[in-house]
Parts: sequence; structure tokens; C-alpha cells
Amino acid sequence: MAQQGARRPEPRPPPLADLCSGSLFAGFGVAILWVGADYPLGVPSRIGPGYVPRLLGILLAAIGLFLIVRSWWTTERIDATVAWRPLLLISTATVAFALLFEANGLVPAILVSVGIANYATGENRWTTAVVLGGVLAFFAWLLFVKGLSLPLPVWK
Amino acid sequence: MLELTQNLMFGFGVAVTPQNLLFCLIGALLGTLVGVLPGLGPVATIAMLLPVTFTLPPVAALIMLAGLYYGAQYGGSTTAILVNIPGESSSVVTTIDGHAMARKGRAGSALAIAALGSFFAGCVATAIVAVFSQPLVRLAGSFQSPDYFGLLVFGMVAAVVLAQGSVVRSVAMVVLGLFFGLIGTDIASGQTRFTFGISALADGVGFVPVAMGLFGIAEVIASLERGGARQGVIEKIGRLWPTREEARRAWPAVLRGTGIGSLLGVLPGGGALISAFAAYVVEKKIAKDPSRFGQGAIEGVAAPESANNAGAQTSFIPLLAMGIPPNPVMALMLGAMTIHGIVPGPKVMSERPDLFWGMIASMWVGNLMLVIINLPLIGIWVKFLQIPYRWLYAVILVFCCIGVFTVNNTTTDVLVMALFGVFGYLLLKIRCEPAPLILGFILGPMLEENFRRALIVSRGSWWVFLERPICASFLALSLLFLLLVVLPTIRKRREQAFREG
Repeated sequence: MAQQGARRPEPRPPPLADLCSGSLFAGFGVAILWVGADYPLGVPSRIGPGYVPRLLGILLAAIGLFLIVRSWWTTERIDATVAWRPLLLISTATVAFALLFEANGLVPAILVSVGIANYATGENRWTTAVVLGGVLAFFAWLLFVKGLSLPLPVWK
Repeated sequence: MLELTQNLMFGFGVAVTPQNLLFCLIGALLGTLVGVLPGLGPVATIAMLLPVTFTLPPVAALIMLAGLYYGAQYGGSTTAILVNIPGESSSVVTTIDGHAMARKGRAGSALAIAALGSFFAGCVATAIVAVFSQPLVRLAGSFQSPDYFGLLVFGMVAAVVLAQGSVVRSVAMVVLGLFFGLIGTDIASGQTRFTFGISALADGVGFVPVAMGLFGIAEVIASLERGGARQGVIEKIGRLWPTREEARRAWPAVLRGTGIGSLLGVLPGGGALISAFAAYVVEKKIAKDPSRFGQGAIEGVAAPESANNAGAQTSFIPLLAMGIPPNPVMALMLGAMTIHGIVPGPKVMSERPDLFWGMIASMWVGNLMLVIINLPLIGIWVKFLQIPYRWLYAVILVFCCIGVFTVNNTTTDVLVMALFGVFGYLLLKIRCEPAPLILGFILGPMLEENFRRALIVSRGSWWVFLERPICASFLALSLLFLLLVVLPTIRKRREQAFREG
């Protein structure tokens, strides 16, 4: 690892994998204990709704802490590059599908989410979105609404 | 033996009705397609198809979904050999020697060995499922809640040990999954937990949106990041029949791969992927001349491809016999059974023998179909390989959305899927495997319920877990597994095994 660092003169290497995941798990553990603090524990012979979450919270916080400490000795690093374009556009397209489906029905939801997802890669032009969205909307209608007669609102 | 023959004959009677044959064929075709197309796996596809199965009789639905899973193992090898990228994660190791063979103009024989090896493994695994399910069902009948608790713990530990990457992080992922599984209303007290006042979460977070988020949406994002670029497809397939020399080398490897896959498939956390890895490593270890591997050694195709198919099929044993899903695909099968009002577990065999034996018989029928689908029709699948990913991902996305919505008819699930898609991508970045999380998620409620019951019976004493021999041995085995992995020498060897894979 040291040799690699010498060859590549990057000023700051990405964070350690154990440190990042440890913080995530410890954070979750503490959050579970925090939110679940009010849930009744019950007694061992009749455990309450808070019993198992409490155990899991403690376990998760402990493992997280262990990983944070262990990161001192480990060298594995996270992949710090984030593909923002696909990440944002794909998740937005999914959320858009959910909202538009609720409000406007299947066809508008498909057209808009394909339209957004289309730009998750730089290789697609707007014509791709139009053709793909149209074809998909038609086939989804044919398969799910006509073929399987699922009660989906098509357009409202 | 007579009983078994009768049961199997009964099963074949169920499997070869025109309707079930048709759905077996549909499952096999879809599975091959999913296997051929990289970036689309059986988990996401089965989840997408769940709504389709609402309208089918349960037997036909499960036969189709099962066909999809083992069909994907056949299809995955095609892409691995011809394009040098795994069509299915379990075909990762096949790319090494399979593609090397293809470059030497031996693509045809690599494809043929992969398909025939898979077929052989499929037949053996079907027989194993049929033979071993019955005694396991009887055994499971004598299990009490502490024993189930021990078995579940063992299952999760095995999943962690078999998962790739850091063991400690995988343990944490299981625990996190267990926690996600607890969100919603506590069955015993009726109290809602961790719902933050959102009424849609009172029934808990659905398994399908979580699985689709982690394996569908996150995978789309990650594939787009990798560029989705295809290297050239090798279109010249050459002669399908292997030479005598190739056949001589391949068949012992097929036997070993089948054995390894059948064994590892049954283990919780096992299944197709780990079986293929293990089989490849074993072949390389016992080869007289290991340097041939990577240069197009036929054993490097035969063993893992047999193993992944065997593993895919024997992973049905824990589900059918005990109602415990050993991997995410089986968890979806469990979901499909629940949708149809079937409670998975030891009672399925006695209460729904048509389903139990019909599904087992259909596996053999399906494997026969798959050899035909994959060998003479190989040209068609090569055409599918030429669909560019930049068209495909939008299709995957839309079908994921529709599929998730239709399971519970709520758009909240689509939002949950989006959330877990982003979370899954984050997990990939910080090098945490999503598979242990999903396993913990499925087993969480079962684990809590059996834990609760065991403590009620024992009047609150934790000793109950050590007093019952079945439970105590599961817990001891779990501890042993964990210790073995944490010990330095074995850890090194395990890391090496994954790297070689």
C-alpha cells in the first residue's frame, strides 16, 4: 500500500473502508437505541417490543465501534468516486414514477420516469426517451392492464 | 424407495400437465434471457414477476419462478463465454477460462460443456432434493422454538462466512438487516416500532421493495457507472461438440462441481454463486498443471457451471423442508408462496403434495428444456446480447417500479425501493455486501418470534438455548464457523480463494 502511495502522488487517499462502515453501523446502533428507548423491554419470560431492538442496537453499536478502532490497522479503502449523474437521475426517476402514478396514472408515470432516466447516461438523445417511453407505456398497458387485468389506473 | 418413486411419479403427473409445462417453459426462457443479459439478475426479475403470478394457480406460479432461477444459471454462461462479462454473478469464474476458449475458436464446445454439465448437475440435484427433503421434513417436525432459533443463527453465520469481503462488516450487515425486519407493528404487543408515525410503515417494510432497491435499482446505478460498455461479442461459435480430449477432461470436473454445488447449495447463505467459486478453486488446486487455468482449461468451465446449477437447485431444500430461505432468491419464493396462502415449512409436503412434488419434478423437466433452449437456439440469445444497455436500463427501472407497486398496491413501496436503491449504492461504495443484510431482513421476524417463544417456555432463562441438544449444536457450530474464519491462517486462505475466483 505504501509503495502504491509513493507511485501515485495523490494528496489525499480515500477514507478507510472500516472507518466509514464502522461509523455507519455505530450511527445506526445509537439511533436504534435512541428511538427505541421508550419501547417497553418487558421481562425475560415475556419480552416486550423493546427487547430485541435493544439487543440489536447494542450489538450494532459495538460492532461499529470495533470497526472504527480496527481501521487503525487496516488499509482497505472505500471507492470514493460517486457517479452522481446516474445516482441522482435514477433515484429521481423512481420517485417521479411513484408520485405521478399516484396522481396521474400509469402512462404519465412511465413517460416521465423514462424521460428522466434517459439522461442517466450521456449516450442517449431525446428521441431515445420518446421512442422507449412510448413503446414501454404501450407494452406495460398491454401486459399488466389488458393481459393480466391488474387494477392499475392508466390515465387519470 | 417405493414411496419415493410413487411420489416422484405423482410429481411428474403434476409437472407435465399442459399448463404447468407451459409455465415451466416460460420460466426457463425468461431465466435464460435474464441470465444472458448482464445487469439483470434473478432477484430483480422474480420480484418483477410476482404480480404476474397473482393470477396463476400456485403450482404453475412456483414452477415458473423456480425455472427462472436455475434457467438464469444456464444463460449466465453464454455471456461469460462469448462476451467475457458475467451475465449472472454466479458465472463470474466462467469468464476466465470460458472466454479464453472462445478466443481460441472453441466457444461452441465451451457452451456445450457448460450446458451439458449444468444438465447433469440439474438431474443429480433434482434427485438430491427429492431424496433428502423427506427426512429433513421429519427432522424439522421435531424442532421446537429454541431449535429454530439455533438454526436461524447458524444460517446467518454461514451466510456471513460464505459472503465475500470482511466478516465483521458482514455480521454488522446481518444485524442491520435484522433491525430493518423489525420495523412495523410488533405482533405480540401491537406496538408500532421505528415507524416515525408513518402509517404506511405500520405493516413493516416490504421485502420486495428492499430487495428490488438493493439488487435492482442499485445495480442499475452501478452498471451505468461502469459504463455499461460491451466488449466485442465473439459471434463465431464453432463446432458445438467437444473433442474427445475435452470430454475426457470435462466429465470428472462436472462430477466434482456437481458434488460441491449440491453441498454448498443446501447451506444457508449458499446457492449458485458460492458454489461456482468453490468449484473453480478446487479444480485449480487439484489440477496437475494449474498454469492451464486462465488459458482456456475446459475444467474451469465445466466445474463452476455444473456447481452453480446444482447449488441453485439444492438451495430449495431448506425452503421446502423447513420454510427457511437460504438466499435472497429463496426468500422471494417464500414471498410467492405466502401470496398464495401457502405457509412454507415442514407441512407443505403433507398438505400440498402436488406443489411439493410437482415443483421437484418440474426441475428435471425444466433442465431438459434448458439444454434444448441453450444449445440449438444459441444464436437467438447471442442476438439479445447486442441490445445496448442504454436502452435496457430504463426498461428494468420501469418494470421494477410496476412490480413493486403491484405487490401491495401502494406507491410507498416504490419510494422505499428508491431509498434502498440509494442506500444499496452507498453500501457498495463502502464495500459492504448487500446479501447478508437481505438475509437478516427476512429472518428478523422469525428470529424474534422463536426467541420470544423459547423464553416463554423456559420462563425467561437463556439456558434453554444450551439445554436442547439440537439448538446447542447449531449454536456451537455457528461459534466454530466464526472462530475458524477469524483465525488468521484460514482467513488468508479464504481471501485467496475469493481473489482467485
